[in-house]
This record gives sequence, structure tokens and C-alpha cells, in this order.
Amino acid sequence: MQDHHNRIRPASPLSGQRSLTQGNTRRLWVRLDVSSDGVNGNEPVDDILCNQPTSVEIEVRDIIDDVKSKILKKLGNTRWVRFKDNTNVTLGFFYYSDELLDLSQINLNASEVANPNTFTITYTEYIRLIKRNNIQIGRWSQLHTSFNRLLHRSSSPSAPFDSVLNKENGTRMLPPQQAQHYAGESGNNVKYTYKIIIEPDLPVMTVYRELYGSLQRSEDAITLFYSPTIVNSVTPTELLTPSDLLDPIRIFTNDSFEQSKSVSISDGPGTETDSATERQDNEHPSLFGSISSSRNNTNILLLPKGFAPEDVQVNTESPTVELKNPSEAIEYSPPNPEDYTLTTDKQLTEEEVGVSLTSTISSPELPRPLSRIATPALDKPENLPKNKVFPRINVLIVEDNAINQAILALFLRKNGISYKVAKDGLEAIEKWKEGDSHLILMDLQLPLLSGLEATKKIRKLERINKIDIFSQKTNTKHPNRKSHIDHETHENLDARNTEEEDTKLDKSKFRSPVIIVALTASYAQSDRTEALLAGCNDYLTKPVNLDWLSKKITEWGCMQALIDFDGWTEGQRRMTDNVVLRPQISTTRKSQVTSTRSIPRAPSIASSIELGDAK
Amino acid sequence: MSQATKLPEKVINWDILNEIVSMDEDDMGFSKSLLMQFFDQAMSTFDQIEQHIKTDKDLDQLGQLGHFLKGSSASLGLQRIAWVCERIQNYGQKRDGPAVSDENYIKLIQQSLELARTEFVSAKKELGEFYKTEF
Repeated sequence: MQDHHNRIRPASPLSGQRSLTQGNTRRLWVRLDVSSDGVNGNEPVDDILCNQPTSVEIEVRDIIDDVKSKILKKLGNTRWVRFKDNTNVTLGFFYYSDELLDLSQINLNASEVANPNTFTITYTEYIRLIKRNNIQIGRWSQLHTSFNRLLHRSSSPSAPFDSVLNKENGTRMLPPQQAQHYAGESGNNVKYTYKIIIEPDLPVMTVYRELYGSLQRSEDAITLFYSPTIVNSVTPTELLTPSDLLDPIRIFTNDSFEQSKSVSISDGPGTETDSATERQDNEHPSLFGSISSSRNNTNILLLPKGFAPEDVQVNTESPTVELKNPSEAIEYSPPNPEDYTLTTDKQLTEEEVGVSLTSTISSPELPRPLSRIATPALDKPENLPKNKVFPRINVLIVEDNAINQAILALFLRKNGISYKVAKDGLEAIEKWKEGDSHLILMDLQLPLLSGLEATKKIRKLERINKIDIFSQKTNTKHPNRKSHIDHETHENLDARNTEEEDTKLDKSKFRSPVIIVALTASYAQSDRTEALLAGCNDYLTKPVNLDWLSKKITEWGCMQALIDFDGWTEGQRRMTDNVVLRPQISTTRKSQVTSTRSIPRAPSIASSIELGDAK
Repeated sequence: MSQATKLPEKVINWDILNEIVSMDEDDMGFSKSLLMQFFDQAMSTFDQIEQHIKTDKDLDQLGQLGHFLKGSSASLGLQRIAWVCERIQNYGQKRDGPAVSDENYIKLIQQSLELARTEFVSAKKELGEFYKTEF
């Protein structure tokens, strides 16, 4: 858990300004498929590194291939990434079924499927299958690869539950099992396993929505497969059919050109190499001209920048034999970097791996990959901070159930966020009136005064006291923060201010409207609408997903920091640390309160320091 | 309304509970103490429901009690209990319409309460196995 948070990048302050529920980004959880990791071979797998889901931020325009880039980028320093790039890793997952799905319309070559209970299909086919077979996908974990599934499986006596919980950092661990094993050893009637390969050209948001709806849990992480067919012979489950939908770059012998160098690239949709491979025809027609329909899976050549195909030492003795193992033809041995003999004088950098063929050819009209344009920041590893830093905000938890209170409180405490707790609507208003709350997590169904009513009341008080972003602006010039109310006229509101004494707030403590995130108990749209109408800014559905919560806190907190930039800059640190908001001791001009009835009500020290708040 | 969805298959949704368990890391025993707290809360809520059924038959109160316990049980991933609590909540709010008499709603809640107690026992059992404790 903690580690997940450490990897979450703080959102940009601006990100809070867009609609969160319709946001342009999502967090996609991915775990590595360790079982087929050829690099590690028989060595013990580094569990922490390889088994834990990690997340990358995905954007609307990203395709699967971009996601792969981001993952590899994120894992850039790890051992796992060595010799892996977009072309030999695949995003996918397992789908388990106790019945044989109707595969009739799918081009499965039965003879190719050595294990009749295991199928490899593409994502598009999977979606079609689901539809055609009228399968209701309930919770992801019931039918797909997921932690939940593995945890249950390993809670058998032979593998105690504890073994999958890493005591040190509390993260959940996958036992490094072969994927096909857990399909087989079922207590769950699982008879058939479908390995779903997501085509690299699919828009990731679409896939995300189809698979996970609005939110993916880390447990349901998608799997990043690596197919080590370079060193291993193809095993039955790794037979991928139909072959033409696999990773688009493969290296094959090219038997259509006599005595040609045996490098060819199959054309595949949607990667940055697409048009480049075609363009290569002009320069090296004999090398790049053919599209292989071989199903030999994801054999890949890692080529440094500046690589010319001539550098490849080809075994010309068997040019017509399809290369099962490129190392026969190319001096290339993945498991050992020291053995890497290809054009070693050229430095191999991460960015160049796997895209070298395209980068050797300048192609002005080739569109840059979208991800590069959209997220230049992602291209720099240093822009991926390791520690989760939350904006320095004060949160008010409004929750009547002690257990939910405790969960939220612990979560905030662990993240160094200060908080107050209120157990009902009335207390919520009282605590809010104390000031300095940036964010309220408001349960909607509360005793005494409901969350909706409390929200409405708070919004009303804010209105009466002119706490809003725009009145804030008039104030930015003045170090004397509280004076801005004085410039306002109360004409419009005077009529309503019959309860003025109750409504008067200490302005130094209310620099901007509080963000209210409703905690709704149901998925009913009506509840959400009602919450928003009452004046909530956002909502979370209970039970609250803590990852999601941390995201909301970051985004809304950053927004508050942005709105209240003035306040933050004056003597307060914006992130972490226990700096108490200091009241602005005025170098005052005397206030020019237009309202004559105001009496400072806030019981705090600050109000006693404040000068001339009342006339 | 509640009848539209089926009782969840698993007693505990570990996806959710694991989030809590993972917070134990630098707060040893947090999840366990939370569950203990929940057991107390559930017991007392059951008793209160029982009381209302026996005495004032206050559907509104019953619904709120159901809602209350639903909140915490759902947060802990005790999904079957949460499901039953939601039923109680819905009965309390007479979601099945006025065609059903108050007396019948009380009866339905009574039945749900029994189911809730059963689910409570099985949740305790499963959690006891996990924590290797007798709860």
C-alpha cells in the first residue's frame, strides 16, 4: 500500500481544475509476468521488484504501445527491463472459464494448440467472445488474473496466507507461479484458460473502461508479459494465435528474397514503427520488404542507435529456414549484457532500445508518438518522484461510523496529513468554523444533520462571508488578508443575514471555499447529483478506495494550494511538515467594514490577534 | 430493490480488506483491532435492531441502523454482512412499496437480522483463520 503511494506522482496543481470523474488521465495498474521471464532464467526472481503491481498514468490519447513505453520507462533502472522493449513485451491478462467458449468465429488453428484448455486470443477477440457468449463480467477478480485470486489460492495450508504478504512493506506478493499453473490447480472449476493479448494499437482508455469500468484496483493489475522465445523454445501456452496480431516487430528469416539478410519486420498496426518499416523499403528493400505471417512469437533484436542492418551477422547457410532462434544467426545472447556483441561501440541507451530501426531513418512526416507530445515530462525519469508528497492541507473527516473514521484517519496520519474528525453534520459545521480546513470528506448520511444539509449550510456561510476565489483576488495585493471582505458590499446578502452573529467567520482562516468530497454509500447517480447540487465538489463511493482517496487529496489539495497561493507563500511550506497556519498579523490599515453588525465569532487565538475586525 | 442483486458469493472481499491489512505495516495490529471494534459494533447494532423489532417497530430507526452497519462492514470488505445490512436499510425505508405492510417489513427485517448474524459468524470464522485467532 505504502509503496503504491510512493509511486504516485503528485498531480499538477492544474489537474484539480478539470473534472475528476471525466478526467483525462487514469492510473493503470500493471504487474509483471515473472513466470516467463527469460532474463532471470532459473535464478530466483526478485520478488519485490517483479511481483508488485505498479501504476502508470494513462491519458486519453494513449494507445497500448504508449503504455508499454511508460511502463518500461518507469522501470527503467531495474534489472527486469534489460533486453525488454515495446516489441517483446505484451500487455494482457488471463481469463479463466469453466466452460469452453464458443470460439467458432475465431481463427484458431486447432493443431497449433497443444494444450486444448489453453487459448491465446487477442483482446478484440476476447471482447467479441464475451459478447457472443453473453458472459456477465462481474468482479474482475473472479474471472481474471488478480491478486485476490492468487491470495485465495495460496491460503491453502501448504502455502499460508502470510507468505504472500510481505511483512516488511506490507505489500501483497504474488507467488511466482507459472501462470498456467494457477489456471490448472483450481478449486474453482477453472477448466479453460484464455491468455488475452491486447493489441498494441488499441486506445488504452477504451480498454480500461471495458475491463474495469470507472476504476481499476491494483489487485486487478493488468499483466505485462515478456515472451522469452529468444532463448527458449516455444512452449505450448506461448503459441499465440492468430499470429498476425502479436507485437508488430519480429525478426524472421525472409525466404522470399534469395540470399537476403534474414531480417524482416512484420507490419503491425499502430506502433511508431509502422510507417517507418514501409519507408525502409526504399533503402533496404531486400531486408524490410516482407510481411511475415509466421507465428513465431516476438523474437526481437535489440539494436543500438545508428545500427545498420548490415551489421547483423547473418547465418546465410539456412536462409530459407525460419529462425526459431535468432541467436543462430545473430551474435546475440540476451541473458548476459557482457555477451552482447552487436555493434558494441555504440552506446545503448534506454530510449534507443527497440526503436532503433526507425530512428536510423529520419522521417519528417512520421508523426511523433502521441505520448511524447502529450507528456514530455514522462520522458524524463527524474520527473517521476519516488515519494508521495501530498499538498500540505488540513482535512476534516465527517463520518459517524467509528470504524470508517479510523480507516480514514489512519490513512491520513500515515501520509502526514493533518485532520480533524466530526461525527455528525452539526459537529462538522462547528469544526469547519474553526477554520483552516481545506478539504472535507463528508459522509452523506449522518445523524442530527445530514451531510447534504451540512454542506448546504457551509456553502451558505461561505456565501454570506464572501469566501470565494474572486474576492480573494481583490486581496492579493494586500498583506492584510482579512481586509478584503471590507471591500465587499453586503447589500445583496444583508437581507438574509438575520443570523449574522452566528455566521460571521474569522476571515483569516477562510481563504478559499472548502473542497467538499462527498462519501456516498451507493452507486446511484441520484445520490451523486444530489451531492453536487448541495455544493459538494466531488464524490467518492464507499467503501472508499484508498488509492483513489489519495488521488483526490492530491488533486484537490493542489487546487487549494493554487487558489490560496498567496497564503501558502507567506511563511508556510506548501508540502509536508507541521507548519501551522499563522494568522496574518496586520500591518493594518483600519478596516472599513460596511456591515455594522459584525462581531468576530471565531474562538481562536487568531481572532484575538486580528485587529479591527469589528467596528 | 436490494433483491435485484444477489448475495455476494464470498464472505469477505479481500480486495478491500487487504487495503486495510496493508496499513498494518507501521501500525501493527491496526486491522485486527479495527475488526475487533467492528465485532463489538456489529453485536451492539444487532442488539439494537432486535430491540426495535421487539419494542417500537420503528422502521426508520431500523433502516438507519442497517445503513450504519453497512458502512463499516463494507469498508472492511465484509461484503455479505454489508449486503444484508443494505437489505435491512431498504426494508426500513420501505423500498418494496406500500403494498407491503409495516408488520411485514418488520418480519423481513427480523429474517434479515438472523441472516446477518449467520454471516457475522462465518465472517468471524474466516477472519479467525486469517489472523490465527479466536475472535
